[in-house]
Amino acid sequence: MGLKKDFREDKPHSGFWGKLYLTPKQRKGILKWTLYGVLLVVLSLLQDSMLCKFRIMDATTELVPVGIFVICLLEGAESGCVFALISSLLYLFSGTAAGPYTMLFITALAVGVTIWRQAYLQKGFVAALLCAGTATFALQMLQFLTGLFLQVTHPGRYVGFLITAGLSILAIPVLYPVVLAIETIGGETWKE
Amino acid sequence: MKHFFTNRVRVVLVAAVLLAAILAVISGVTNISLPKMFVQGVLTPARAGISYLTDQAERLYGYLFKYESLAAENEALKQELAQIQDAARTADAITRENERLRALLDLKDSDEKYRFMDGYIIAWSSNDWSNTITINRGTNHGVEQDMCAVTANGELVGLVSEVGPNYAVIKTVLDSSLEISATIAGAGYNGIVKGGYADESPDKLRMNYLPNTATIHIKDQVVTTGSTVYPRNLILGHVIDAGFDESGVAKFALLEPAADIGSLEQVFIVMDYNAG
Repeated sequence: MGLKKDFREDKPHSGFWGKLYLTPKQRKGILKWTLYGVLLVVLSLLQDSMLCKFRIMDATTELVPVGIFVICLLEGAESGCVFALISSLLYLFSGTAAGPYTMLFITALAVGVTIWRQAYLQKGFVAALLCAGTATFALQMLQFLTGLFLQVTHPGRYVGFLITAGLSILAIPVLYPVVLAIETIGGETWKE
Repeated sequence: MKHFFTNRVRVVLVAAVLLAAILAVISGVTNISLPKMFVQGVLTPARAGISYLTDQAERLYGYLFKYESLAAENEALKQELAQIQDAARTADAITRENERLRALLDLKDSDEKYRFMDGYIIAWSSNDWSNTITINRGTNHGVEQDMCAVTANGELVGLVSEVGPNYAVIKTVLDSSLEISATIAGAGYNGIVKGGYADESPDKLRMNYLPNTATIHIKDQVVTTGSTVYPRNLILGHVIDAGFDESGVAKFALLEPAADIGSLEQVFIVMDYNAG
């Protein structure tokens, strides 16, 4: 009678991923952050090539910052802050952002609302909606005030910024389940 | 709350401030940004694909739900075309007479020759104080910064403000940072046209510095006077309102832009423009 083999033999050749000696958790982490990046790219493409054609009082949505806020909220300040910095930088380089100050605002607001949520609110959709919505509204107002300071906008245009904030906030209920589904890859949800 | 404010978070925030300052200085000194060119160059094919699909969906929607209005518009356009053809025949006759008279007076022709490069719009700006469009043509196709863009009907769309290998960003005439020297055709009054995007009229143009004795009529056409950047006689728009400006010394005119920026799908870049 042959003995049952207790151990699986090593593969004779290991591929690219095998040579990196990544653990399964690390591979899932890479997959998760890659999917976050793909999500933001999709939002950027939808924003620049489709949604920009549909305007209310010449205002449209700004989806990429909303996506960054929701991701940062679910990932926690510790890992979300780095992602917010890198993704807001790439958002600036995509040509859609108003200026370098937009990158600073997005990073600071993402970190700020995440820390505030971790300190004072329970996990859940309502907390995400409240925090991401507040950050989106604050981003638009900061951009409006900066535009006034730089004299590239007019005080009467504040309505346009409010409409942009409102339309962007409407995307949060759609983004939240998508980000939550990606966030479950490789670990527990709602990092503290 | 303080214990969530870890060292990593502090470092990231400081890095964000420093990067914003450095990038602001760089963008103030030069318009060229290699990372921006790389990212936009990578996104351009995807933007072109999404834009194409959106256009097809709009056409299908129009065919399915707007057939009657499209048919009525078609009839109106046919009548307009017939009128324009009559005007073109008259213009041909006037042109021939002009050539005969020039020959008699031994006058030289003005030598304004240029060619066009077509480009499809793949992205629109989404921020609230600049009005720009992105097309799928760049330095690989001979497009350079400060070339102007027009529609097929000779209506001015804007100026190329940024260009990459396979894309170009065009600042439209609605953008408040563009100032174009123009004239009211027929009347001959010169002024400067500026977009109202950052002002109270985001979808209108404003023509400033008109003489306070100027007689301006509604529907007067406004065209470019010609410069090293813009060929002359490109249509900017027509007058919808006029009055004295805030100083009371000069007049202004409010213009409806000739090019329907929001509905454009294709623009033409003026190449090899020789104003000499």
